[in-house]
Amino acid sequence: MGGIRKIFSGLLMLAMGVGAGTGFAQSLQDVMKARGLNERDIVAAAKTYNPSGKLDDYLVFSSGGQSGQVIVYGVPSMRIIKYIAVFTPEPWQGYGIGDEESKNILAGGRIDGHRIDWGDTHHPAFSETNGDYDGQFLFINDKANPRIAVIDLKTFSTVQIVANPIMMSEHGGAFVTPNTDYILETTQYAAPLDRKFAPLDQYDEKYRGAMTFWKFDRSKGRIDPAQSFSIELPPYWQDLADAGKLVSDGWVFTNSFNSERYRGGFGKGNHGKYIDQLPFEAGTSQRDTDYLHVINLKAAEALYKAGKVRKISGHPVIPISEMVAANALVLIPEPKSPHGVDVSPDGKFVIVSGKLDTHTSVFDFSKIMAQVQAKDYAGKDPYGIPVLDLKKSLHGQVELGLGPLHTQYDSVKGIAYTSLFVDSAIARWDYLNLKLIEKIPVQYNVGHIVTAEGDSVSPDGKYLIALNKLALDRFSPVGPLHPQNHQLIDITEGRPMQVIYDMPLPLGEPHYAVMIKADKLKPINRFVRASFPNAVEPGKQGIERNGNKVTIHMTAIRSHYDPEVIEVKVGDEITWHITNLERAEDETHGFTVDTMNVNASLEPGETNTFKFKVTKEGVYPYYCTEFCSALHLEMLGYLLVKP
Amino acid sequence: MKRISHLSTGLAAGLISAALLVGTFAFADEREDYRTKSKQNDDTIGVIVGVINYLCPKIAPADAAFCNDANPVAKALALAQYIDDGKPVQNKLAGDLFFDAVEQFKAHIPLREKAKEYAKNGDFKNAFGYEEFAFQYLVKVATQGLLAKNRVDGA
Repeated sequence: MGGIRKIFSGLLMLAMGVGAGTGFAQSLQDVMKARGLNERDIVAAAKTYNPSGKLDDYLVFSSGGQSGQVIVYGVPSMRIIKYIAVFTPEPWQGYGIGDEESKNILAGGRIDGHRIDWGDTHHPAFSETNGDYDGQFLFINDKANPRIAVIDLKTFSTVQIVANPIMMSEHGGAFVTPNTDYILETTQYAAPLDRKFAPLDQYDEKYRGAMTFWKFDRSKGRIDPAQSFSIELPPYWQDLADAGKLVSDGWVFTNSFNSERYRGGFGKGNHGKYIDQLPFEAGTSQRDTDYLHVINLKAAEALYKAGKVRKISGHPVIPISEMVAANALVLIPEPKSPHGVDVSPDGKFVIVSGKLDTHTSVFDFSKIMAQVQAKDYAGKDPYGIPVLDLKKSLHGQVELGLGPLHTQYDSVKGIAYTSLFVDSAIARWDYLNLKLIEKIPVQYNVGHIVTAEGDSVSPDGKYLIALNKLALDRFSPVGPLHPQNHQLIDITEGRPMQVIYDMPLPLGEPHYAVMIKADKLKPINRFVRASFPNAVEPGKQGIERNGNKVTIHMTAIRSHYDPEVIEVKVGDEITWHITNLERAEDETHGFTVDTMNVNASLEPGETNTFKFKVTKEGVYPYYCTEFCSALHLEMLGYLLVKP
Repeated sequence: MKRISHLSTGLAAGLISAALLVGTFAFADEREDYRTKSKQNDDTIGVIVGVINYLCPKIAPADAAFCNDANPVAKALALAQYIDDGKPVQNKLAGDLFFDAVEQFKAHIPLREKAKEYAKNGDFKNAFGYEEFAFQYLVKVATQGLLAKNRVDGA
């Protein structure tokens, strides 16, 4: 009792800062002095520190870039909580490392019949209900291999991958309509939509862009490719996209670059006629403006249902001519080389920034609609698509700084934030009254930004994260390849913005992130055993043989497998079902058979199935790869392969 | 502080496309487009010269005579060589960024020469293209230069 009292009084002294110099405790001032911290640092630390057991207010789902994964971290603590395997096999989660379940998911993403082992994930999007994040699903695209993945947020795991049947390259995905009826995916680099060869001489005639509307069946939690369709777009390089909200619901937007339709060929390394041309970076930047595409989704859906489509690789595509005839597609000049087309929370404005300009443009949806309805066109593009007048479409422009890129919204009406790539800064500004409020430097060369629920109809404000492209001097040197730097910025109303945390992200180059209130997420903490068709119930363990086909029904529970010894012969084809019988939360078991290139992560209640053929005699230990108990090392078995 | 803000504004002026609201796509007068782009590059270089003059004495040691060179390009090249030789500087990261900026700056020079050559032969379409190509390098110079300036300013 006396000991407890002593500890308590020591803690009290520490809390009051009176233990300094006693050798027992440090005061805040001591720590500040020792670590060279100022009051501003201490406030930042207090705003972000989560004592053990305290949970975060928000979760960020960030693209994992070339890792092909999604990275989940908490705000304000910036602690990484999970990597979600999506397009890339990932051993810890047992994703794509031998089990049939995840192999089947990855097989959905096969292109031209072959497996692709990575993805260039770019833009995650939450499912929405009435324009608000509902915390049920997350979607993410793969730019390199045009695909969309569905992640079920009940399990934080990938449940479906669909490959785009007409695209060779994409970028404008994933974005969702306000009730998640459709998930948008838009091309980037134009190519023939039949995915066949056409020479660059025929670029204008045969190369095309497109936007695919993937139909989402919420009851099944899956994309329904049979109810999905695309629209043909000109061979400008479409970039990001967004769906309208509230007043603009039913319309979608995508911006573009290379309206020059430039074809490249820079350098002596090219051959034939493709030699000594300007590089793409110069050839695609010759005009002062590119095109914002404005698309009537409801009209497109009606055209699709009326059969006004051309089947390309079995996929319905609405031709440009049909869209134009239905007055469902118009273009508006926009600042050149834009990146980001962001619909305001009330749906009334669309903000676009051109990276080579200092202005950000605020388009007024009502002005756009007035021109569309009156068919008041300033001209047509080479594909017969009406072009609206830029001035007539604008609410206005604001000079924010160098290299404006991506915009996110605040909870305060009219307030937005735009990243400034060249300036390495974030601008806080008023898009209704068209004025810059303040700028804050970030380190360095910021790309996308995310605010709390910033893509929804009701952003929360509070926090902004800058996804910086360069880290330079922010972290300990680790060789030429630096981590990414995600900087957390306090954007609380009424105070100047303040950077309060630098987080290194050393897994791919995250492009885009979305942030959701943590209490909207309702993940399960164990699986229902009976939901797996191959589940092995207690008492049903065993080995069945039918000729050379051997089926193993195995269970795992702390700390043994049943069966523990399995005898087979060379040439046997093995089907191995394993069920984790644990009911206790967080009691995961792993499973591998040495040298067989398989690994599972079996969460409580989960069943995985492996299939492989044994080709060489030997003694193959199998064991649990997740430290599961004091006798974890004893959780093993022998697969005996007889000659 | 006034001087810094002047530099940023000048850089912005050099970088922005003129009169965005024109909304026109046709190059009716290729000669005029070339001249406009060429002037934009000249203006941008003018701003870059200001940045070189600002940065040199803040990166090089106080006794470095090359910072007094009246020729800003010679000054920049000398500082870049000094950095490349691994000699001590006042701010290493700013020095590294400055070096990168000079590398980009050097890359733009032959492109402008080529643009001039095309213009001399009356090929203003290609002359414009090469000025645009050079501009892309100048944007990179500005990006690195701004980062270097932020480092010496402690931002």
